[in-house]
Amino acid sequence: MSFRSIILVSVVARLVCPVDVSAQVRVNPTGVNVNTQGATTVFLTYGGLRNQIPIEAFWCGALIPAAPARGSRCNPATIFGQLPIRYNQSQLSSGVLSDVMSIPPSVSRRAYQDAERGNTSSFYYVRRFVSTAGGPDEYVAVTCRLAE
Amino acid sequence: MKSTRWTVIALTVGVLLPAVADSARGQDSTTARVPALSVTSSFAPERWIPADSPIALMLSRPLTSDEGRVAVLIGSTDVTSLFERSGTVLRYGSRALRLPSGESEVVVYTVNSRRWTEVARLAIKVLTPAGFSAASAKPSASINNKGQLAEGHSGLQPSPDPATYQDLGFSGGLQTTHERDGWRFQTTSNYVGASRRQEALRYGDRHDRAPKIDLSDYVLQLERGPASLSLGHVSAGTNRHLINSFASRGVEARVGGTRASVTVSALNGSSVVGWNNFTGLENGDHRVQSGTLNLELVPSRPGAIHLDATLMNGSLLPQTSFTQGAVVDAERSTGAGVQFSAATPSQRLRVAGGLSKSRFNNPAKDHELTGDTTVVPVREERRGAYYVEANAGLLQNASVGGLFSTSVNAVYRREQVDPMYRTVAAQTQSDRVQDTYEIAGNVGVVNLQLSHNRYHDNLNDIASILKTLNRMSTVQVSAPLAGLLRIQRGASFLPAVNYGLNRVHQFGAGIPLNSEFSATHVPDQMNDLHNAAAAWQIGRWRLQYRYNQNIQDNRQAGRERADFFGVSNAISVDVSVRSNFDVGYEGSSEHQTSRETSQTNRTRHAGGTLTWRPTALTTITSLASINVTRDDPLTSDVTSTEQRLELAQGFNLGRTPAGGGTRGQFFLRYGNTSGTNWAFPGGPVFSRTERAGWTLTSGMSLRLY
Repeated sequence: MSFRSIILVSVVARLVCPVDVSAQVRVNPTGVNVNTQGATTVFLTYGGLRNQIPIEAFWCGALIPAAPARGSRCNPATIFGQLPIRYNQSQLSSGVLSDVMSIPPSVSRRAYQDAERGNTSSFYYVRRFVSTAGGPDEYVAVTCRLAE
Repeated sequence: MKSTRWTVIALTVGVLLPAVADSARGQDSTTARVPALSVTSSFAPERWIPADSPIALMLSRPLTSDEGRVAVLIGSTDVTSLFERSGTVLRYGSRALRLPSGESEVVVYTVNSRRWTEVARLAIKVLTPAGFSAASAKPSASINNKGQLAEGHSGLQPSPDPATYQDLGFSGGLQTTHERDGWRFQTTSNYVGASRRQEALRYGDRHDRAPKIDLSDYVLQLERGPASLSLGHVSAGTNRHLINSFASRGVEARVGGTRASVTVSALNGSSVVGWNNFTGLENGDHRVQSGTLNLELVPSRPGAIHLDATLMNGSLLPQTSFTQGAVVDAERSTGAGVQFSAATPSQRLRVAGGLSKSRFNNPAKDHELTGDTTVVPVREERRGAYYVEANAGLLQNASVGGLFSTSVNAVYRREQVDPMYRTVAAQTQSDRVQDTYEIAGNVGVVNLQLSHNRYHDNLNDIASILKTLNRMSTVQVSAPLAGLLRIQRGASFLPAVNYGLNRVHQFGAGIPLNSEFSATHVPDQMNDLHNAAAAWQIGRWRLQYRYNQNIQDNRQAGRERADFFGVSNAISVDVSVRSNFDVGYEGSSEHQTSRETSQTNRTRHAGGTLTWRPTALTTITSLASINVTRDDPLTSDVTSTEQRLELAQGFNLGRTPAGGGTRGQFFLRYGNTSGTNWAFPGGPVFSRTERAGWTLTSGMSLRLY
């Protein structure tokens, strides 16, 4: 491949996938074991926020690409619920978001019944971040594994 | 002359003796003619009469002169002067002085110059002025104060906000009882108050709108015979898996006796306080109803064979109790359950069990959860749960070789709760089956307890869900060494010892299929906890030594080195130097090692207390302690100290030996804390921070009545 071809591929890739990998929001932990029969509360930390603020969060059974936004968002046909405002205890400070993911029992119940139907037992907690600088939205998912 | 004198004496005796005898006979015949005095009344002993109703006492005959006059007491009050006498009838108008309310006795005496003779004792039941057969009101109130008079701080010690304050708290209550015509009405209400709104009962719920004085709880109860109706804070249900001691505000009705009873109730879905939603029944979507039938098949021996059946229907909105922080949903469930228990007369063999079925759903009434999106609906589930228990006294004070008295008790429990089983009024661990085996007993002076518990989840073996198994075993042995070795001389120098082991192994059955599990996500951990203690009581000295060791062995793939090992040793010495002067000392040393990080945290603690009671109402306490914590790589070294001096003075306000009056207590406390924190004290670049602070606080509690 010639140098010109490399430049061309790079430009096209930049236009099609305008994702700056180094600027992606990171979350820790990326996956947690959750209670199948009751509520689960997990402390999550999001790092790498650059002029981004958290908006809503959803639980769902499957993900789909979020393009033109970054990351993967919830498949609208598999939504188990959104984070009730009464449980939203997220705090943004110095580019780090501290979040408390409180999974209501009914969300785990939907995931369990989904697994009973033969689907995967894992589901996802997806937070959407909106750029205050005009950038694209970004979705960050945490995997929830039915474990107990 | 002599013979003449004797003749005169003989004649005199011969004349007088018959006369004296006739006189005596005459008196006997008079007494026999007067019948015994008796009294009848205008009131029946079993009937309640108004306090202002006139009463009459009818004598069976007029009094003789020897009997003197009549005196009448009601209770312990002499009311003779309030009676009008007309012939043999005594009338009490009671207009001037009402009859004493309640059940008392009317006692009629005859009184002469020598003595009071009880003639009759008549029961009388008098209504209160308001017409109740019994009426009482018992208020209670107490106030307390806590405040900070002064403070000082330095270094990194944060500045308290506010620096000084005085807070006042109040609690009060009222209990009343009224009875009439077989009805009984009882009330209980309790109130709390605080001068600072942040201390108000509902501050966590209503914040600045929380009232400073609020209703804590109340019950209004109406009873007649075997029936009762309660409104207010009540508790419902005894079914382990359906509704078990569900306490909230609502209404409950009960009818029945020892042999059979029926209880029905309707309660608010979560605990409430305050004046809002006074009945607890304002929201039908947040309510739990239940009914229970209790049967004692052998009424002469309650508990011999007991059966109960429960029906429950409830609906909850995603609301928590006023002080509860919980993750809740909109829920609805309907269920039924039966339970039984039986016991032999000696209680040596007892069995119990229960079976419940519940239909559960999450209705779409949580808009915060569903929002404006289409959410996958929750399928309604009908699931069950059961439990059985058996408790047998295998040996009871049996002799072993004529040396020891031995008792052994064995228990077995099994409980299974289906996956997705849930009700709105009982906390259950769903999708779990567990078995528990216990043996407890003694051989002579040695007490022994053994137990083993095992459970697993994922009862439907869904391949994509992790199945977790748990095994827990405990051993506990205790004995006084003097008794064990049969030593009597110097026995107090031999301690009472005990040892315990608790082992827990929790592990996953395998890596679930069709999931995002990997081997590193499957738990496998073994925890061992050993504890031992020895205690001496030598005269006024009490000594105790405690040893504790914990081992956390992580066997999870990728986490094999994430193990912990810890040991602690502690001693305590307490001595009563005098009857009003106690001295205590405690010291401990512990370390916790992380194998993964090769780090050991060590903590040493020492502290002592002095307690002096110069008077029965005065106590002076002083305390001093020091805590040193450091880690082995020497990244930190923290020393903290505490000193405290407190004067507590009790006082009585008009208090009598009978328990009346008021009792209160006042205290004044000085506290001083300090700390020094070294970061990397062993390295070339280290830092040192200090903090110190002192406070002078006071408080007072006073029970008014």
